[in-house]
Amino acid sequence: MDKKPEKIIIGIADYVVVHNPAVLVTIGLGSCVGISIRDPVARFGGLAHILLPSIKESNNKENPLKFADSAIEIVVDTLLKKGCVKSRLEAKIAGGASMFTFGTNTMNIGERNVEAVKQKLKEMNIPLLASDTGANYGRTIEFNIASGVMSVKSAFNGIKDI
Amino acid sequence: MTDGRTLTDFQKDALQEVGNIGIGHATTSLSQMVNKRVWISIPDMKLLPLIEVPALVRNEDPVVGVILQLTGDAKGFLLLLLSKSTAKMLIKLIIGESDETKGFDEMEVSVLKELANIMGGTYISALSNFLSIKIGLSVPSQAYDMSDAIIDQVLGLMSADVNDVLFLKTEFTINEERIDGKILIFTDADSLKNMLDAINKLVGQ
Repeated sequence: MDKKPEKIIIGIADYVVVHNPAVLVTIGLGSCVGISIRDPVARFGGLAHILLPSIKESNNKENPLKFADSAIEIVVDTLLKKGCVKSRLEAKIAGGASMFTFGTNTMNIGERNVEAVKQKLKEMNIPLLASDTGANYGRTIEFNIASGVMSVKSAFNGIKDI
Repeated sequence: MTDGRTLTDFQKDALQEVGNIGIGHATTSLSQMVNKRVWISIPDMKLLPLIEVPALVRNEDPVVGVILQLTGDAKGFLLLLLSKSTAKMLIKLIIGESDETKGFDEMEVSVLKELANIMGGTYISALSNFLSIKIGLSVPSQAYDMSDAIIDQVLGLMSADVNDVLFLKTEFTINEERIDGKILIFTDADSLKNMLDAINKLVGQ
């Protein structure tokens, strides 16, 4: 039983929803945000890697997984279809850094992404249990569906379990 | 006419040549700064969905990225990517010293930014002169971090309306010093169209 759970890697503008046991990984979040949503009773969990705040602000709606609001809807829909219960869902997020600044124009897309994610979760009544966002460094995350722990790694700022 | 997804062989060759001219000028300026011979690779040019870019530059080690924003007829970013050892070696060649055991101090960061400024500036001015289009460049911004996160950040900065990106990668090496770096250009479909129109004008079509 102590076999290591399978690691599933999720790319940019992508998501995965699976049943326990599994570890969902997304590598190198810069301004992007990684969002985990889990039903601890049904033991299903999902992880999405979003790039931009809102599908409503974009003229190109081809890929809803690129945006915080539409991607969260897709993850939640998928969880519900697998038999999860909406009121049991809980979320954690990491990312949304701002690694580059250009003079006065900081173009803080990371901050806007984090805001959009929080807004959407609130709108859907999904509690945000923990987050590690902002600052100026990249993050890689590993989300363990069994424990619900999101492990946030960075190049120079150590590993944080949230 | 291009639909933004497909390029003819002629267009590919022409864009690759544009990359060649750019990297040629950029590495000439590098060569003058460090007084060494610089070798360049054949440019790797792709038109692909934005979200497929990370797979092309995957590298788990932290790297130095210096980014310049392109404005005007070509919108997007120019990114200079260097391994830590390459960045330290270049600093040493330029200012005479660098501490390889540590991160990058303020002085070293400003050397890297200046290096990107000069290389990026000569790259882009060669490109805009050749094509007779106007491209502006922002001041440089630097990060030393996971390369995936740096690319992720660049993609985040590209406009929300962009799905496909013209990705032009050129590599340079200084053999005797084990120096190797990359210059990546990211531009959107509108900018690609401007460049292709300029190429058509050049060949009289």
